[in-house]
Amino acid sequence: MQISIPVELKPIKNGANELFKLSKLNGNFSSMYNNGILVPNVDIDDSIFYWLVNSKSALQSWCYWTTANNVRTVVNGEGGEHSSPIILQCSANRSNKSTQAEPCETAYNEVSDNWNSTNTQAETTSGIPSNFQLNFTSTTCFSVTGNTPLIYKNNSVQENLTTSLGHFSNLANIYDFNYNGILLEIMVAYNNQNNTTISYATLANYIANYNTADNYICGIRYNICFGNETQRYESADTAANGSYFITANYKPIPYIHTRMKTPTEAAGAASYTDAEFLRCSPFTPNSYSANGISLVDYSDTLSQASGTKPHITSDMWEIVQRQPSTVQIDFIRLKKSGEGIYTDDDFNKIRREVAYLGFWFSDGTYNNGTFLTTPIGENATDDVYMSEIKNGTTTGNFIKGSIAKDTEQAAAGADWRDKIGYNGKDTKNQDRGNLNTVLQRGSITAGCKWYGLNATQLNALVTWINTGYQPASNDQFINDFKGVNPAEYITSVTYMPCYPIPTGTDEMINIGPLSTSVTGRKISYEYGVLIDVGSYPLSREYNDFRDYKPYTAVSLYVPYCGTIELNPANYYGRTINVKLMVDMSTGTCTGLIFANDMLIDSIQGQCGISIPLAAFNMGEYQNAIVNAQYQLKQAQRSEDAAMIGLGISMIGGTLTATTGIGLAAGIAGSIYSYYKLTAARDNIENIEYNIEHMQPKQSNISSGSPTNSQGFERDCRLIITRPNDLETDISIYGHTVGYMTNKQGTLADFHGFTQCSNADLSGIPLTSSEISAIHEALKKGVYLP
Amino acid sequence: MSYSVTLYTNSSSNNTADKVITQIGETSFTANPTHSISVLNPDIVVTYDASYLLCNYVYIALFNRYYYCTIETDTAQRMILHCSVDALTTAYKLHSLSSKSVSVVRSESEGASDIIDKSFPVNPSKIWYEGIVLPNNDLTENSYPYIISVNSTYS
Repeated sequence: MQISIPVELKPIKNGANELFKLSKLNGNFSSMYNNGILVPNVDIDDSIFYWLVNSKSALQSWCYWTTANNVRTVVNGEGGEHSSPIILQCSANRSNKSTQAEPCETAYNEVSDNWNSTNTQAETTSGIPSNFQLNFTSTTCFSVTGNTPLIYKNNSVQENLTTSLGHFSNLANIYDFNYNGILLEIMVAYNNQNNTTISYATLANYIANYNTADNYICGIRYNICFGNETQRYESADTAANGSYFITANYKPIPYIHTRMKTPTEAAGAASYTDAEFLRCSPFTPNSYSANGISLVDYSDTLSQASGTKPHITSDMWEIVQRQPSTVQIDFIRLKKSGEGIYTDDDFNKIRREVAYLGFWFSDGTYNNGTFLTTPIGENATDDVYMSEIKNGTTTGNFIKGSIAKDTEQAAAGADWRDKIGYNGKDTKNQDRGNLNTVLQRGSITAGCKWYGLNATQLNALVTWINTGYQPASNDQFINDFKGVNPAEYITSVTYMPCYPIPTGTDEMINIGPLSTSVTGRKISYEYGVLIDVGSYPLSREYNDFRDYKPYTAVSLYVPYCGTIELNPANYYGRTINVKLMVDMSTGTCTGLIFANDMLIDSIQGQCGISIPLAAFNMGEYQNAIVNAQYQLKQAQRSEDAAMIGLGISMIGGTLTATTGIGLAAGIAGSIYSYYKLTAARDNIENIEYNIEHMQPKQSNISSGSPTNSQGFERDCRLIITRPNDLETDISIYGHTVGYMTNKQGTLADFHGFTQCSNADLSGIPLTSSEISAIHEALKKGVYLP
Repeated sequence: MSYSVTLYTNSSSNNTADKVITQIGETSFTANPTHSISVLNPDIVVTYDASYLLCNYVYIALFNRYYYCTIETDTAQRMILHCSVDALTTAYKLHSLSSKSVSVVRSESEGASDIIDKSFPVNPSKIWYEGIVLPNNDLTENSYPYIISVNSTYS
């Protein structure tokens, strides 16, 4: 039996008492309901469910149970304010109904951290002394038409639940407080090796300070913590947004024991099985003294009325005998899987027990004088966990807050309330495999250094290249620059005004082996590739089909790239992360759109203006030198030989800047020109002159073309378009039209308006025309009770 | 031979499987052995009773079926019940229709939220926009807008 809590709960129609908002745990429970009305005498075996009661002021020491419907309700807990809310645990027994001897073995009440033995008696057919009965008396109890749910005490009516303004006046839907400001704080009881002391700590405190070979965890409980301080004890905080979940003045309210079981048989109660427990050990045994020695007595947790011992989940708990044994008493403790200590696996078992309840929870909310201030829901941190709920059922799994916050479950919040039919109920959190995208970033071309320059620095560098370097001779020039045009050392210039420049100090820029005395901000390649440009957790608006295409359209503007349409289904419940992958040499970029860490969409763009360099060809330049020198020698040997000379012209050489976004510069190339000399003699001097003055081509920096992308918004922006409802009042839509579904079952599984695509009507002893008529009716839609 | 017929007032719509019916009387009719009588659409004659005028629904035990009915009266103090079988309710009340397997496409109680419902009154011509600027943007105006790469072979 899996104990879990479905949270697909239907609001009550016609303003009926919110007692309908029960949470079921097991299969047959839904059959209890007849269009929202609890029906008696249906089989709800093995079900356990929970109610949040607004006030426990009068519930102290009470045990609630029902006779007609076999719903056994136990109120546990003491120690908080009497006006504080509590959670009622309810179990359903199997077959023996009201004569069940021990339907609620946990009819204990704890006072001052010790068992109160006054309420440990087993229930009898006449009810537990001093305990209450929640008696669902009629066939349509909870009905608004006159049938009345009642609370009994000692078989006398104490309270009419339908009209009560008391502590049953505000029973809350389980998912209301799942998402609106309740958090369970795990506490453990631990004893020493000899089992002579009992102490309490939050799980976090135990892990930090008491996880030693001498300490064993012997019980679990959880404190219910409400968020808003001013509302802490009054009601479920339906308005809480999580921003003030736990305050410095937080106080725990009554804890809930997990000591619950559903018996499989009638009186005697000898046959309990592991699965029928609520998976946790009993908590807080009696302290007593024997032979002058203080001891802890677990006997009442172990011995049922018949003297048999309870069964426990043996993979988690163990029953051991106290050693040394002055008094032979067995006790229960959590198994240790580590060397004398509990491991994370052990603690996770405890967390799973709490996760089955479906609430957000924490290992502890107080640590050395500091209270947690972490919120729950969309802004959760790792100080809290979210109990996973899939398909409307708790799974026992839990998710760290920092991860859980991105889930649809966490984001849904109160929007799930008061909706029928198109309520969200599926977390869709079913991704599988390794979906993280790991980008393989290339390194910058070997042999290059990257700098960020401001306009002044760039001007200075260009000036240096154009006029700042004055070689004494051609040989010096060739030697200084290894035969390379100094401008050729600059392999790219890109204008990127939004590039994230790293912090640090400027470095001197070298052109070839020479220092330019111009500085720039050194950029390592790690800065050059990937830029985060925004992130946002995308959540649904309607929590139904209207959140998807074609009803809802989501587009994303990515700076320097443009707008891309996103399929919202890919991103709901996840965080949209946008990054720019930038090619620093050309200014091109790729907008990468991630769902969490999974790359989904991409878009190309241009985030920088590439400033063109001169088309200088070093090989051509060197050939020209060699050729000229060769021809010079030839001319010297043969004065009348024709020579070919070389001329170089220079064009420009100044930096031109434009204003505004078009502030960019370009380096225009110079050209080579050749001169053919026909009279060698006459031209020797010219050739010599030319060689002497063979300057590498100089670069001209001119204004570059403005790039439109520089003028657009530099933030990512989501644009979501959603439809308006044609009619705002759709309260009877489900009753008259029905909500879309695709479920199979028997007709008994459905209620109200029901339209079938097909039905298997074999076995009905009617004529074919009648069967056809039924088919036709089902296809058009019928009303089912 | 005389057969029993139970007279009801039905307050439910025709497409209600488990009709809410209130018994207003029980009477009998005589089947003429020389005349056939339709099982699905029988016309039966009963003795006039003013209270029967509220009858719009009957159960005929002979046929084990529920029927819608309309009433005619004649001057001979007779009432003629024109009956038409209600196969849906007959199957539901008498033949465990609720236990039959079905595939449901629309439901009041078991709606699935994410299936597109083309019947739902959404007005696609009236849309509303939500613009969200994504936080955590590392793109900032910088004071070093010119990115240059320099060949460092000799430096």
